[in-house]
Amino acid sequence: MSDYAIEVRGVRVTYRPFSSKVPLFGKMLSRSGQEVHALSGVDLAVPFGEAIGILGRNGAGKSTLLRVIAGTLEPDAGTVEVRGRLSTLLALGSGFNADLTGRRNIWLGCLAAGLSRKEAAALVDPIIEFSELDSAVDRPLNTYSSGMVARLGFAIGVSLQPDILIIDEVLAVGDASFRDKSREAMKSLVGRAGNLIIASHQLKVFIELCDRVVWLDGGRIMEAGAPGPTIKAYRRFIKSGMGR
Amino acid sequence: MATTTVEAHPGAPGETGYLRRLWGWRSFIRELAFGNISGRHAGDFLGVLWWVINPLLMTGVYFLVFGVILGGRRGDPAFLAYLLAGVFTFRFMSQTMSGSAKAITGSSKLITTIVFPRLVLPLAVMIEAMTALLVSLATFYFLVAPINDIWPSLWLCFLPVPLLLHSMFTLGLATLTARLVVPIRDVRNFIPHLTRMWFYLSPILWTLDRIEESSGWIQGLVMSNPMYSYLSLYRTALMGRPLEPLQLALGAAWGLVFLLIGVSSFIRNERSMARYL
Repeated sequence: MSDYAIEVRGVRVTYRPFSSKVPLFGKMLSRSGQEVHALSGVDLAVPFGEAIGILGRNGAGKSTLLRVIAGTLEPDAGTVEVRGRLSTLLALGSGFNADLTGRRNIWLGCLAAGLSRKEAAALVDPIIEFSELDSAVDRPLNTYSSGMVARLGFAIGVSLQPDILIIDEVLAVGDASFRDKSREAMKSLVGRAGNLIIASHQLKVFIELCDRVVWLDGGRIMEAGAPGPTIKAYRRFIKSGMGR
Repeated sequence: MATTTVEAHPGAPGETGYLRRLWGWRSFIRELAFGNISGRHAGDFLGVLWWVINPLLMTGVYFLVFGVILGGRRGDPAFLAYLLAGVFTFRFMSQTMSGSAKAITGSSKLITTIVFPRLVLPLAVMIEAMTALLVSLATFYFLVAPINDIWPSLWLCFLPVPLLLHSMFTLGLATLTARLVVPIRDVRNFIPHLTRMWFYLSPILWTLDRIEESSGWIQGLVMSNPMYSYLSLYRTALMGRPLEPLQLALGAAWGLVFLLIGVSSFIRNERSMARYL
């Protein structure tokens, strides 16, 4: 059996608006009618138990890479193999149905992840406890502050007990004690030989949580290695104004 | 341990495998539909009561316009019942159609982060629309039918037949529209016009004697409208008359064909949906 929890080989993703398939028509009518090469040949192997950070400017391909790993986006070329149960932190801020209470959204979150009713029922109370929403959990989501929604999303994602947890830009949610608690949860996941994949613009997060950082730019991996040096190289790149 | 492989060009996933997977998500479908139903009017003072008030208001409007102002369809006291049976059932279809595409483009966060059979979205929308239809039909029986001296007969037991066949047709149509709207958003702009035209072309606001003197091909055109078959089945069941075998066969055929085309094209394309969101 392979030593890797995630193996990404030669993955290419091109966003092709429909209009770009129609010659001329696309150029004339649609301003967004160009192809975007979001990932152009990415290889990445993540061993079990590694926490990995993904770094890069806006539009570098971070979210696309996360989607490909999560299996929600099918690449144009290449393969992705994932061994273990995935959970993605619901890109916090939306929830499922803002008209419904936090509690109903917890149910939706668990069932969407493919849990049975019984499994979901067992998770509801731990999730409420983790989120620290208390009685607010029975209020509609649209009365929540953004921090409360984010806490709820985080609580659901962590409580699903995934082998691989994917986090797209978040983390600074809740007060200091909630942040400590979420950090603990992520560390314990990695401690159980699970994997953490975080895309973020907060470089501090990588140093705190990640074993390795992958720096993406223009859909390619520029550098991958220990957080310190990789972040340094990225900073130098940004300062030098390359590609600006 | 679960191993999932995402390949660039996998063979089309088997449809029976897909349906089995879908069955595993049945609680999610139920929860989504229930959420839509209870959340739809959550911010309103009268809340879920709107599910009953809406069809009542609609009945009132049609009664006012076609019963009072336009003076009932000369000599046909059952016209209001005839008309509302059509309005309610057509609404079920148009709501499912427009709602399904919206459910997918509106759940971009969900679709880009979680892997689940996307068919749950149109299904949940259809369950919501079906609930609205059933409530409407109940008000029909308590309000409109007694006024028009229509009483349920044993044939009412056959109402689930048109409901089922029409649902198959509707789901097929909804998945087909969703499959087109996701990559080509422009399609969305045609839908209201198409449904309105379809509404007027179906015998809902008018009765068949209108086209008695029309040429044969116009009559043929009217009768080849799938909605013609479903309306005829609904009305006969609701008004307590036996179902016509020809319309039953046509309704089943339309339902099967559209369900197969719509759902299979939806399934084959669902993995590329995240690209357009």
